[in-house]
Amino acid sequence: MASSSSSSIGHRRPRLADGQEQPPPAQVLRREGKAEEEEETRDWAALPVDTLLAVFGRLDGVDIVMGAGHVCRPWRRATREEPELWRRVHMRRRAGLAYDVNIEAAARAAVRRSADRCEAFLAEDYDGAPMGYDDDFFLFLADAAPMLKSLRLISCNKVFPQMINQAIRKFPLLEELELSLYHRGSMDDCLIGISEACPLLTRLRLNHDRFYYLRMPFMGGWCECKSTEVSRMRRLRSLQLFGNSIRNEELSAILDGCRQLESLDIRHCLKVRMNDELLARFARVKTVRLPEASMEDYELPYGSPINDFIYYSGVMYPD
Amino acid sequence: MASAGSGDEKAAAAAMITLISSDNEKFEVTEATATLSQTIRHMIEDGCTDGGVPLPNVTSKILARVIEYCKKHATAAAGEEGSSSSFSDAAFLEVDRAFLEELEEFDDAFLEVDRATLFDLILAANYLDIKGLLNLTCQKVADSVKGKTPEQIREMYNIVNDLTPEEEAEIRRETQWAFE
Repeated sequence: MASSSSSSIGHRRPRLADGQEQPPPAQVLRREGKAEEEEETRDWAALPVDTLLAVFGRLDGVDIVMGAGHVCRPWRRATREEPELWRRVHMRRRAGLAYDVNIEAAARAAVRRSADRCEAFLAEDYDGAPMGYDDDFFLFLADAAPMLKSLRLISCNKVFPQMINQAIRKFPLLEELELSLYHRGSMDDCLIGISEACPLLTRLRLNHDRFYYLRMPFMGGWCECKSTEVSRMRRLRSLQLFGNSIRNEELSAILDGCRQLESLDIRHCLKVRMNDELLARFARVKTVRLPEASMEDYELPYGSPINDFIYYSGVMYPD
Repeated sequence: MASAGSGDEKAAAAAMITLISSDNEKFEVTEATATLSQTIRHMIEDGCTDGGVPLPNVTSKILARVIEYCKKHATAAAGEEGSSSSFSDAAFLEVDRAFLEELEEFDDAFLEVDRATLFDLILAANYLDIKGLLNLTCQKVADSVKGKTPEQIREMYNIVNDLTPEEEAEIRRETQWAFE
């Protein structure tokens, strides 16, 4: 055992700034009687790097790029010199952020710091935002994240399907793909050729905001997934299609093509008619969430189904 | 562990460890409690715990809290009879739900401390290598800085902005900051 008392149990010394000394172990001034705890302060800038990274690892990328990553030099250094931190980049636009985010610029900064090692990227935009993920961003992502295994796009409606398609094709290692709340164009167009370009794909989520009996372009809806491409994804294990107007034939084609499917979620797919033939096909699938199943654990916002509607001076009203 | 057949009390007594804080206070804990700390576990394995374990980086105030945490969580781990007493997710799954909820309540209450204590707990958890406690305390800090601007975080944690003008400019360029 080391003789020096301070290193007697092999304490890992934090990597700190040049010339910066590790603060002495926090000494609590103990007076006889009471300790004045309210007065105590600690040097949070000098938190050991591994604990700092443990904190940052629990934040979304956007929180680091816009906030915690720029608090002081040691914090900044910790976020910049650790590509591991950026293996998973979550860029959500959440309500209640103190900053007005240019989410696209923030996402670029985050992906760049991953030094080509980004494996999971989640982008969440919202329709009213002035700036957001656009075609250029997807060109950038396709080059900057060659190792991507998981790509989740939620409400990324500033991008055309051709561009999304082009980007996805550049991720040959992709195992998980989500394209939710997308109504800029056809989901089918986004998926063309993906079964070949991404042969490892095992999880796919294509969720609409709600079920429409009849989708019209201006309702954000001429974008059904007609399943042809999906049915070619042989390795698919998990498929979620919320509020899709997929029909029995299309669903059957998927079940016939994706023999490894273990989990199928077709909640609010109200054009699916349950019958014996379909039930027989479902028997193979471990978990099936039927169109009418409970929405309890559903993660995205959604509207109630619109089963029929009438026209009235150009505006549509639910029946 | 004590051999089978000896009384519970005897077995427990045989496995007591003495921890000594930086201000020389002594704490007697069971081996099951102490070994939630990987650092102490290794010391026990190496047989260097006779005469107590000196912890020169941990004050008695913080050590008392850390032990409180370990005692509670060691009980949880002990629900898995026969396994090692380490704090593992797998062991957790087996423990019944009511106890998990109680544990969660304990953790929540445990985290109701001032910032200085939180800081000391993080350092202690890091030093003693207590994974659960490190996760818990780092999560608390992460939750507090989520969605905050650098300035708000500095204020919250009393951190001085020591970024150079060049660095500030670089940050602005990089993120095209929408606020000044």
